[in-house]
Amino acid sequence: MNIVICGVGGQGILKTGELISICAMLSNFDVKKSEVHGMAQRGGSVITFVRFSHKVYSPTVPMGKSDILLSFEMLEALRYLKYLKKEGIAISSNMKIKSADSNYPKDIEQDLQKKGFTIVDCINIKNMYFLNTYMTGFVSPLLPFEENIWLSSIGKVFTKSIEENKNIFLKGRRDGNNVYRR
Amino acid sequence: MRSFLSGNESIAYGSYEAGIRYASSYPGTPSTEILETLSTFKEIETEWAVNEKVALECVIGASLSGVRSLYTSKHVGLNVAADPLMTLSYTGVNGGLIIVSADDPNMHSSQNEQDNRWYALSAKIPLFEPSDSQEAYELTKLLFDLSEKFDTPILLRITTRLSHSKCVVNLKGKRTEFKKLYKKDSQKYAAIPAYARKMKIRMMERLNKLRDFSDNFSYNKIEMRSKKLGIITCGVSYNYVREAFEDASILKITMSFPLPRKKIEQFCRSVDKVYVVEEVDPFIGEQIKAMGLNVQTISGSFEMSVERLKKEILNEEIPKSIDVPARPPVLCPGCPHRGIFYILHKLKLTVLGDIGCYSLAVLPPLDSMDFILCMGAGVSALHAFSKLNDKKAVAVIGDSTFYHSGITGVLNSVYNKGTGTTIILDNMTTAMTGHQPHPGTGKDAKGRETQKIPIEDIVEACGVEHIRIVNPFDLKELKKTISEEIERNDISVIIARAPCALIVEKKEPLHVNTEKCTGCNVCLSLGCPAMQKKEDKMDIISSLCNGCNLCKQVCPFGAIE
Repeated sequence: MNIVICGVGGQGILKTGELISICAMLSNFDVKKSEVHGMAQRGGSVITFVRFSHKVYSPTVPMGKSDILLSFEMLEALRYLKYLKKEGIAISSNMKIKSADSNYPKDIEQDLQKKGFTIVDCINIKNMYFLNTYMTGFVSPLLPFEENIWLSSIGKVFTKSIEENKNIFLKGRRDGNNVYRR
Repeated sequence: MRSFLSGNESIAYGSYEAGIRYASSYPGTPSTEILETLSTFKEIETEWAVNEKVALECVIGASLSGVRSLYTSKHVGLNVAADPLMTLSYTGVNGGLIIVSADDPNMHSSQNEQDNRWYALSAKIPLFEPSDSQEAYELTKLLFDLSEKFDTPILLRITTRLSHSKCVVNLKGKRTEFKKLYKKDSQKYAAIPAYARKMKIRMMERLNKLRDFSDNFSYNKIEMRSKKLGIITCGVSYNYVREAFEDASILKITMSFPLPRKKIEQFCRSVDKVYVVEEVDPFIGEQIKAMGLNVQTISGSFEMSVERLKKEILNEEIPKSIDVPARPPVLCPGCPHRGIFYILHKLKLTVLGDIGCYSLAVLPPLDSMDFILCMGAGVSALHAFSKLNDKKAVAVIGDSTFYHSGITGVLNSVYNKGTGTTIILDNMTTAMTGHQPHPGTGKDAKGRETQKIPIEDIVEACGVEHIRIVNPFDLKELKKTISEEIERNDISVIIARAPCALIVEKKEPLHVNTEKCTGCNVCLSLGCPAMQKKEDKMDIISSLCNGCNLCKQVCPFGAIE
């Protein structure tokens, strides 16, 4: 299973990658996660790769091979769409964060929907600090981990507001279940 | 114990279990987390040195005293430490000594992508390249034994994708304590010409023994599959090769200097076609070609990947990217550097910059840095630039960078009767690499209290007579101070002091009075990510705004409150 998580530096992308990876490890998979630190984090474009299977080699997901593309920002969703495989699942929050280059594409939400994205409305999340936990909850029905593994991993990965993170994760999970009920 | 660890953490755990007692480094992406992890172990004295040369010399001192010790830095850091490295190879070690060089292919966070494996060839020391965290952990433990057995420093070369990728690692968790005696032996440790010639002979004999070792080293491994395609590879590239070509036979090289010559010859004989796949330079590839073997190299620039291999070997197309606006990293909201660069841009000065967060001011709209090379270069270059060109110029350098290699430049300029203004951006931390302490902070790598050495005291001791300390959030004061100092026919230093926005509490956000805002865009020239245009008026994203008041000072209509 290949997952590409992307967004803008500061949105909690690296934490999300860590959370999914710990779940995979606790579910006895071989896991690799790859990201870039330093310069990339100052409000720039950020991408993290998570891969799990019985054996994983490359730490990065090859372009056109990702099963899931999870984006926290719409322009970044468009930027990294090249990683998604043909039958892959694309999810993006409806957040728009303008960049220094101010030519933000118009009608991006409709464009992403046309390209097959599920757009997740994040207006209801009171505090953007929890955007990543909500989005992880939303995507969680697509991943083969038990709910108790998710919850105990949240306890391991987050150092602050653990209970609140668990609740917001579960809310995201319910909303995701409504879309991806199998 | 099954743990999920980055390459950097694995090297720290391997070193801990090998019984190291000392580690020193200067922060630099992608190497920083090795020392940060080590600093959590009470058995290990860990230090942020002022620069990499000092770090390596301290590590050598620790080895001389009889303990096992570790040096870590990013690739360009080893340039700074190259002087002790080259002769350390002559003297050899007492306690085991490993030098970790974290190279940055694709320059994710670096000014160049030099391949530090050439240092091993040049210094004639053994070189190892792990392919993942598990191997990095195992090798690190093993290499301390080898360092002592062959009486040599060892270069452990890693790359960004090893440093910052995490894998499942099986940790033993058991530390073995280690200590050798120190015995005076000047024929071994004092490199005067007469002794150094003997050391050189011993070093060349050591190299021959290492060649035999490499051929028998179990981590240099042939994996025979199809005879049609053979690939020689090393480091992280092994994983890309393994994934892209399941049927290929592979010679996985872990000790890449000296190379396992017999294994390479045997491998090349047993397959029809051989590629050598490695990140950055054709370091292994060229050595194999020099053996007279017919191989094709895949290397050169930037990172390796599964897609790149399939393109080079099978001519498969790489999926096309959608053209979208770039999103480069920017100075954070509330960053104390922003105002300085806004003023420097206004004053149209030539700005000789340095390495740190402030390199983000190169891009528009701040667009206010002419030159960035290496740590300390701005200050030294300003000296000669000002002597030889009438254009008004200033040097800009960060606090940690000033301690690292700005001091010598200032001293040199005073001694050689220079002119020009150096602006030291003192945000009271090493910000870019994640807020490590430095000699101005009063804390050490383990968080203990230590003596604070203020920048102004050092500058004064260097002989600078005009020193001014300013608040970088007061644009009027900044403009006045810089304008006055650049007119001086002497050396001056301005210290712009305010803590990094990420280490202090966020202040109350500002907002735009839309009745007063005319949408003139002046505030956008600050390049603050909290400001954006909403229809015709300006808008401040309050979750991002840090209340630094710069936009309030530049707004011609008093529309920001």
